[in-house]
Amino acid sequence: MRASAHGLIATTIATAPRAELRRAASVPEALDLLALPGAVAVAGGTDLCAQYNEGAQPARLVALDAVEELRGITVAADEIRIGALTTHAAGSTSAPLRAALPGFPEAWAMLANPRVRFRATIGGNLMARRTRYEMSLLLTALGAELRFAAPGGGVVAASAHDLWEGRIPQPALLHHIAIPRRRGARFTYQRALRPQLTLALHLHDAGGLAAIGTEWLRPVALPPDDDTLSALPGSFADPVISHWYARRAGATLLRRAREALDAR
Amino acid sequence: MPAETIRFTLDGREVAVTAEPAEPLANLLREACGIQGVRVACSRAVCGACTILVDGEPAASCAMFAYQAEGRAVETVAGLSQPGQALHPLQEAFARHAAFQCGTCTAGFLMLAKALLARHPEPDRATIAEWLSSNICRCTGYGAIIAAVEEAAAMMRAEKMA
Ligand SMILES: Cc1cc2nc3c(=O)[nH]c(=O)nc-3n(C[C@H](O)[C@H](O)[C@H](O)COP(=O)(O)OP(=O)(O)OC[C@H]3O[C@@H](n4cnc5c(N)ncnc54)[C@H](O)[C@@H]3O)c2cc1C
Repeated sequence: MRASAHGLIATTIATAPRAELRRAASVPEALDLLALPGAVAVAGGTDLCAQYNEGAQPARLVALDAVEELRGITVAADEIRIGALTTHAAGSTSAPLRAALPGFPEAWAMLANPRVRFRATIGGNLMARRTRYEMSLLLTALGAELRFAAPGGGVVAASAHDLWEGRIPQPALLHHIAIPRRRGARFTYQRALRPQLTLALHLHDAGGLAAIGTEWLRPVALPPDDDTLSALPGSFADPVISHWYARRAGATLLRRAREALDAR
Repeated sequence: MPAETIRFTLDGREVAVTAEPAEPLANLLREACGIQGVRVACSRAVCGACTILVDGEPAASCAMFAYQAEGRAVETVAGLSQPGQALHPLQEAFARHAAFQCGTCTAGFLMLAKALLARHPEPDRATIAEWLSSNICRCTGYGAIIAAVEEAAAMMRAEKMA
């Protein structure tokens, strides 16, 4: 079947040439393995299978499962750290995260569906670099840092914007995400117009940030004031929504977001 | 890539299967383990026909590699009931409500519903709908499937109390 299906229909994990599997036990080992030609990291695998359907044929898969350092959520006084291997299910039900950043786990719980959420990870969501995946928008509103493992030890920080621009270390191993803690932080995500337009709003005692995105556009950070949508760049338009619509609908989403936060 | 021995629990039995670790788990289950009830349709984790439980959590076996089953407890539709024994309440309820037509999606729905009821023994309709939206049915319609899951939940609660 494998041979006869080849070329007739989209290649899948089942029909593609079999990759070599390498298991990483530590961060340095993962970095070494990812530096090999044709190597890709595997977290949950839920996006990787779609990449196969789109023609990817990695020569090597680097299994990250055993790299314990990439797991877990820690809440410190100044920041929240979320390990790259944290699944959507674990993150969206984390009580410490809920206490530290109300509204964020609830927003995280909106992503994907129950079956996918148990396997898919925050790291895979970001590193797949697909505009229709929503974590980079949520993290943009939170002003989060993406921290990549550095070859000599330690980490290198990048923003969600850097990730889209490809300004990340190579080989890329996302280690954790760091969200700065702000006094009075609250968060909401307005997703009712997805896939056309979604908006996240993060307010805290010293200000805040909004982020807006669509199925096809990279998220854009905006100031969270009443004039927010006038700051939307003119290039923010895609085959489905015009710039005019994005501004109008974005203003409505922002109003709803404010109401949601006021109601808490 | 040389084959390896992959050990895991399959429907309650310890198994050691020789397979390529980077092959899809669905292939291993269907071909090496002979579990044809694991259906493969979309091959990209979208449709849910291949849903199995891994350590009790629902997963698309088409989007998992064989090595990811190592040391885990894998449950498939084949383990829901044994030949000659009573059907699982979910199977009974699906049959009673005619909650399938072509049957391609049925095994995936049964396993997803099993995971749902393990977490929410008394699910409301919205919770059932949210969970079942993970999987795609293109002929039966979701009404009968939701009704079957509601009935199975009631049967399982009654069995527990008996
Ligand atoms: C049916 C379905 C519905 C979905 N719905 C939504 C939705 O509504 N909203 C949403 O936001 N997303 C959605 N998703 C996407 C889902 O969130 C992603 O598939 C998931 O987060 C990817 O995580 P993973 O661990 O499975 O990644 P993998 O498939 O393992 O990896 C994805 C990519 O990231 C790379 N990678 C993974 N981890 C690392 C790391 N630590 N360092 C470097 N590279 C890494 C891999 O090499 C690969 O290129 C959906 C997916 C499916 C299948």
